[in-house]
Amino acid sequence: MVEMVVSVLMVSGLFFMSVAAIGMIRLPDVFARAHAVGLTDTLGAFCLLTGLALYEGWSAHTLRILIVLLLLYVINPVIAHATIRAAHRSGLRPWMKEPS
Amino acid sequence: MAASFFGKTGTLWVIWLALSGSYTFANMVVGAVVAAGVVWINPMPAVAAPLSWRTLVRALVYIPWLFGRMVASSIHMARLVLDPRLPINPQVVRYTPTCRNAWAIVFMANSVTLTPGTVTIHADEHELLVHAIDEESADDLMSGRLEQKIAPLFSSPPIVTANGPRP
Repeated sequence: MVEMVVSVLMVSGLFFMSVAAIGMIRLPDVFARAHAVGLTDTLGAFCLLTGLALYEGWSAHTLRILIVLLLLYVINPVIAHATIRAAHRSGLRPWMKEPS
Repeated sequence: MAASFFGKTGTLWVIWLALSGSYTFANMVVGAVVAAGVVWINPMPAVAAPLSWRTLVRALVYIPWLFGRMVASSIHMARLVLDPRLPINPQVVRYTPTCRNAWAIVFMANSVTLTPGTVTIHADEHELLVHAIDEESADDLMSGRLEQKIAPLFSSPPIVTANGPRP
């Protein structure tokens, strides 16, 4: 039972990470790509790490995994914001859809 | 100064030991050196976080709500990326927060970036400049639902901004 849940979590984690990678290639500019990168930490890393924590069972590793997850959720938006803010301040304008 | 240096170093050292899980003498020495080095390079000014019981209890409600929003918008974002037509319509929107609490605005900016589909470009006490991937993400932000959830976490006035207390 636990193994089923772990597999589902890990496969969906990998799925969202792959989607983020595809987004990095398909999306037009740094602003749009930042959204795709957001997928890796919100669902990608969350599913993978909770899967890992369940697989390990209750141990000291579980605590470490939770700390890693907490740090990811605090640090990742900061890095995304820093990148986007730097792009904005250096005068880069976001890609816009051509008015049709 | 010295007291806070040792306090911060000690805190980092305890975290180091907890995370490494090895209590050999060598590891303790390396941890102490690294912790002291980190504090020396980055003095980490003490920020008085507005931690009241009310904030903590309401955060326990807010965080699961935010997580649900993150899952929903992640799925929306994945659908956009995988769609062969790539139906994105990037736009930059200005959101004017009505609450005047600096911590609430920081929380908002962070939550917006954490939600796939919206990224905060710039945040100050008057407005949030947000890049959204399509209309749906932009509308969701402009509906003000996020602020309604965050504002109760913090008591509104008085707020302290970079320029001092607001009148």
